[in-house]
Amino acid sequence: MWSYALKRIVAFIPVYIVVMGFITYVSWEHMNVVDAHLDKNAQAQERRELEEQLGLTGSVFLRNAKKIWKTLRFQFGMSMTKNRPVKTVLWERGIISLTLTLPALFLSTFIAVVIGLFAAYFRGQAVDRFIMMAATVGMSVSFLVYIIVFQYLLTFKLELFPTYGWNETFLDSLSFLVLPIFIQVLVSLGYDSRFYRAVMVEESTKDYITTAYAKGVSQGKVIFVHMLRNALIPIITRFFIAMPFLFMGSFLLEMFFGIPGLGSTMINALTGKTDPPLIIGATAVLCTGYLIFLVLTDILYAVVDPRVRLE
Amino acid sequence: MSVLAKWRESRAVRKFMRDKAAIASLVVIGAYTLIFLWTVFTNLDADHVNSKKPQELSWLQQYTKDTGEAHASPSGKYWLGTDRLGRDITKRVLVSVNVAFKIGLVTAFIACFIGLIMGGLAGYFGGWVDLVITWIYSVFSSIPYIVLLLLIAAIFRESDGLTGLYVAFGVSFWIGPARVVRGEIMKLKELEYVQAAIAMGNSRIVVLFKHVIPNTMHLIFVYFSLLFIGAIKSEVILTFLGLGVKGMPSWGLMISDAKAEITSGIWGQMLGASLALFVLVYAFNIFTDALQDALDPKHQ
Repeated sequence: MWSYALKRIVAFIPVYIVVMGFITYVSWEHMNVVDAHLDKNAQAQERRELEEQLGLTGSVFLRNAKKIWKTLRFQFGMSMTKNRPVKTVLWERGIISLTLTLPALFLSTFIAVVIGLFAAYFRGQAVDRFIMMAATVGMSVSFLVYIIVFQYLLTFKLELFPTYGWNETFLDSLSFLVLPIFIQVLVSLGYDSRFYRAVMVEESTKDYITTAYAKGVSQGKVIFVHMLRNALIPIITRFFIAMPFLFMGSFLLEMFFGIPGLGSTMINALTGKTDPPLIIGATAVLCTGYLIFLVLTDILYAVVDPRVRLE
Repeated sequence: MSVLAKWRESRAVRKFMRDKAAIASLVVIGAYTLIFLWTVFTNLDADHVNSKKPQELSWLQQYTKDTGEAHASPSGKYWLGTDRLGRDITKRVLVSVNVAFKIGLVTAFIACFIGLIMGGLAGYFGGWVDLVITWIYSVFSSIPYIVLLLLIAAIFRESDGLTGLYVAFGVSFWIGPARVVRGEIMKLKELEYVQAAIAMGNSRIVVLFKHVIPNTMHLIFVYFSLLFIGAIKSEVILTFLGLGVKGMPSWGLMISDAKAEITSGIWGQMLGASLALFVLVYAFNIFTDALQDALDPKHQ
């Protein structure tokens, strides 16, 4: 099994190299970095100076090769917009993003699984159909609409929560998190509950369920002990695959609610004053995280499902 | 039997027709398509929108021009009121269908086409072809979707029009169909009738196009439907971030304008754009569900 994991990791290395090479090249060469950081009245001289400083002179091939080599050694340098080391920025803001996305993921998975179980249990009946319709409706509303409407209703009109902002320490910021987490959970519920319902329904058609009922096992036990355990694989896979993206946070929510997380920082680095080191650093983290979690999920499969181990 | 009759009698179509919700969704989609065709045939052209001479005002501009009544309330004359530049909101909502459909159709087509080819080649020929294509697939799928989208959209930020979006979505979305087509073809390859066809002397390419690919089309249809809506929803978000559509009215643009208006109590634009978007997405979701149910061989 460990040789399997190792093989997977090794296979991903060339992928990582190509991805980071591509990102490095595009971020430095195609994002108008120099224009973004010059004054409006900059002279050609200042332009040349900045280009030299940023390492954008000389042959295209050489300068990018140098940059890519640095990237691959995980040397991300200084963020151009924050004037601090990229790694520090990534770490601080990533943690902030996590305080939103991690609780949201736990909550939405938990609630969606329960709803899915419920709907699958009453499969075909009015309750199930209603839940599924509600889930489809929920899924069809644009994220933006959720944010705008709830922000308007709950912060502006009813003034239940603060609209915007963040405090120094985490504990002070809790109240800023409630609404974003609530919206994130709501948005995911539609899609997730449909998925988990499908998983449960798939399980319930299997023979071992009929056998259990025939043996006289109570309904509760069949659902919560037997069915759930076997449905765990897709549930866990989904949970794990979502993990690397948690660090980046939900950029829309962060932008609307003024949460200084990695997501909104990324967006600003891409759309506002372009900040290639930051873009590269964040992508590196995400890419590595994604690949690691892919391998972890495979390993987890092998642990949970003995049949996989025999391959 | 004629092809049409055969198609009508086919199990999938019959199953689809039994589902009332599916028929309703098809009607709604049809209505939107009619609106789209209407905007196409009356020559809504992004290039004309930015033209300055009054005589050269395109039909689009005349249809949605400033009526001089900024922020008028909804009334009999302007069903949803006007926006901050005095443009009739109802008209803009309708015209936005043009952009929505263009993006949905083109990107879904591009992504499904690329996905079919990549997945088909990889699954069918195996060996190093599969290795190379799977490797390319890994590269694209390990870049977070949003980052890829934003990067490409940012590259095209300077240019007008929809090309940037087409490229961004095409490049991000092809991996879904590719993965699924590859898996399906790998299964189909082992079936006896395929092996028999090859054994009988048919070239492998002919077998690929005549037997194998048609049996993956049901997956492609479903993906097309999913990507159509995925593209439209993503466009809304991209436009909101300033990276999407510019010259043409689109729901994303309207929602992003509406955000500022809503705190002043002006709800017309928000309601119009989000409702139009919601109805289309909802109809498509129901349609895709019904499509999957109808085409799923497991549900015989």
